[in-house]
Amino acid sequence: MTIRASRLIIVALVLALVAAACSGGVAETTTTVDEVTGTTSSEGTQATDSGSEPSGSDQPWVIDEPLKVWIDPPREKAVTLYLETFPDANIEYEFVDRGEFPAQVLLFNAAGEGWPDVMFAEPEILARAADEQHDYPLDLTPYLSDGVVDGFYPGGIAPCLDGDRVLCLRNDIAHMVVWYNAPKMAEFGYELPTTWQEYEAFGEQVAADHPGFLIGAFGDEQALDTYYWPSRCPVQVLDGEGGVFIDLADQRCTRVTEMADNLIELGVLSKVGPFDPAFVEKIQNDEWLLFPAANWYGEFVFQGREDGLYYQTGEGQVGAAPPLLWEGEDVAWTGARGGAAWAVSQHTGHPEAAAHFVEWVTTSPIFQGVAGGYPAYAPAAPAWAGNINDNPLYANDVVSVVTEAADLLDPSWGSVRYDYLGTFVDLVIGPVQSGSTVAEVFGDLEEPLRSLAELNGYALIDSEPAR
Amino acid sequence: MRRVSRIEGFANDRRQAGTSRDLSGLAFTSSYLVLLVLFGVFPGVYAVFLLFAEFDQGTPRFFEAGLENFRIAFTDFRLGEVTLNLAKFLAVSVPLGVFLVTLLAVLLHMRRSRGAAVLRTLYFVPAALAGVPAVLLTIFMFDPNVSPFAPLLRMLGNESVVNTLSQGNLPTIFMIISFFAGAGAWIAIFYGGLNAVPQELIEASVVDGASPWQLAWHLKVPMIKPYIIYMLVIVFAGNVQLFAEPQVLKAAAVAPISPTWSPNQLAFSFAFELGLFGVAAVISLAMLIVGLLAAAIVLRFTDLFRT
Repeated sequence: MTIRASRLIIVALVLALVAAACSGGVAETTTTVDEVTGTTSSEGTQATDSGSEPSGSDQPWVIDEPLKVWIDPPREKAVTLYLETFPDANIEYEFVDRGEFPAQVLLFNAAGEGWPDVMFAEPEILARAADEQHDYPLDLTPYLSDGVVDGFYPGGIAPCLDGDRVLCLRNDIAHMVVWYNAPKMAEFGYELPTTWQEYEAFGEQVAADHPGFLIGAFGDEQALDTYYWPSRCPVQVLDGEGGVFIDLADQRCTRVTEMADNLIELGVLSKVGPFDPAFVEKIQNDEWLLFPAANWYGEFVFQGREDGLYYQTGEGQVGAAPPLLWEGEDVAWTGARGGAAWAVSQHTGHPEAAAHFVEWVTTSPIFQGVAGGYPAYAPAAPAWAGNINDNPLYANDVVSVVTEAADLLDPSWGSVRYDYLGTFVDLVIGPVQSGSTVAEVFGDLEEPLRSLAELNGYALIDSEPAR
Repeated sequence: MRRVSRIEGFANDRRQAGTSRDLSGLAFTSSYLVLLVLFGVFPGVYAVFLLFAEFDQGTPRFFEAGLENFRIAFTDFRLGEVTLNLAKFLAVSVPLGVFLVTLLAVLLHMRRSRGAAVLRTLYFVPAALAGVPAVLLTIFMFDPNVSPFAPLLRMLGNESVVNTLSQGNLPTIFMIISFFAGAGAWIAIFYGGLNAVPQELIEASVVDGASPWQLAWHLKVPMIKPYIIYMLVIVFAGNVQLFAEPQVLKAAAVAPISPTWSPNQLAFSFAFELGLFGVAAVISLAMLIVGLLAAAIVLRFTDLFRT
């Protein structure tokens, strides 16, 4: 009675092979935006023809066949704005389900053709397409403008770097801040915590004074990013040479586990995720005070607009506070959830054109100002303010809090090829929701993570790389 | 022996007339045969070659892996868990599915009124929702915040969808999804089988004083036994391949579920995340062998092909 999945896979495989075989043609969903006129820029054409010279051309975007770019619908703006800026550019884009991308690369590899020249995806997905079997991304180093990589936030560009190689440019970063319920905090006379220890004490206070109010969520994969990443718990520290360090018994993990168990027990840390209807209802009922979460929660989750998820009106309900510090440490590191990147195929016939496009979309304020996510390229960050300044939802200067927090995004949290988040949800969140404590099950994660790391070609190392 | 020779004699008599009949039969089945060969037989045979193939960037190098694919598949740290998950699912879904379908078909057949015909159609409706939509519908049905059965779910101690779709409940949930997706078709088949039960036997039993239940249990069910055995074999083989339900539940991210809950998902992960199509082939063929073994056992201890 079950869907014959194996047959579905085979059908999908054959379809993908057919699609790969037809890659010379234009697929149904493909939209040709612009064609090179061929007459406007003879200089540029000459320069591109020389091909082998990196960054040698004045107009690297002028090419004789379209650049094949794979994006999602929100990124359509990137292409249209690029084409407005460089009318001679030649781009053909397609909306794809990027989760399928690593699998498709294998099929393209087998077929020997079909790869997109430029791919937009999360660093985790690009990492999966970067191993020996997939070997998709091009090292962009020779094609980028001098010093451009240094302009990215270290925590933003880190997942794109593999030793000396630059395998992608980060589009946006989703570092976390502490969102807070400004009217309620004022009403109850509470002060914002600045450290995790204060955060825990705050939770105890709230549980005593105002039971039912929430100060965060520990109910989906975001719990790992929100609580364990800022503590620098060594879930996956990469050494840049194919080694990964995993040690979940480390004190930087156990202190988070103890805090989480305490706050879950007190009922101030939700056991369901931020998108669970029960959690949404809590926020809508104003029964929350703090919520550490990614910077995009402001515009895309709290919203304060008619179709908003958490708030349908904007009346200064929500403020943003800086990331919390673990007392005794120097830096209040923060984690992230989301943020994607652009990679170029090593099979592309037009590396200069592809690199030019990728560099422009990640660094130009023209696109980054309307892109939505917080720019990973620091000099473009001020353009982001335009996205949110006029939202009456905010109670304080959210822009400067989020901007200052961007430097605190911890670059040492490895972007690995295996599904560590799915494993975390399966082995930790599931049992916790069924009544276990985090302490009882967090250690169960270690062996599966090690096995997954080895299966994916990482070497397990015994000492922690410098962070 | 006598029976066989009689059939042969029958065939001999008909042989000449049969040639054109064979051709027309072939013509009718040809489109199916082409698809069967392309999407059933060929991939199956290809999978056998993949068993011993090594993969380099998606390109197979045949017969270069030796037994390495088998080693990777059978020493994988998740194999025990996925096997256990599948065993739980099969233990619930196969016997219960066959039992409920038989029960519903027999109940429908007891009173052949207009209402029964309507019900028979109704049973068929969920089959239109097979696969992904069925899972999505299930998520709503089991979420106490939106489900029409919310009071019942809450009475059973479920405050949120993460309670109803908790890991211990998953085999039952998948059983419910697959039951409703497939039951209608089987009920229709069983009902057809029940209609073929000779009327004189039923009348004779009624004259002898059999109650409707006795009639069902001692006459009707034994008469449709071949259908029941057939369903047992098909449903077992189908359910071994469980994939869409856990995969969609995982993708919907409403409840914690392993990325590799069933063996088929494990095979998928090997093929499309790691590019180890050979290992995936090992797991796929292992599932095929389990299905064939189960079929062989069922057929060995029943008389499906002798009736």
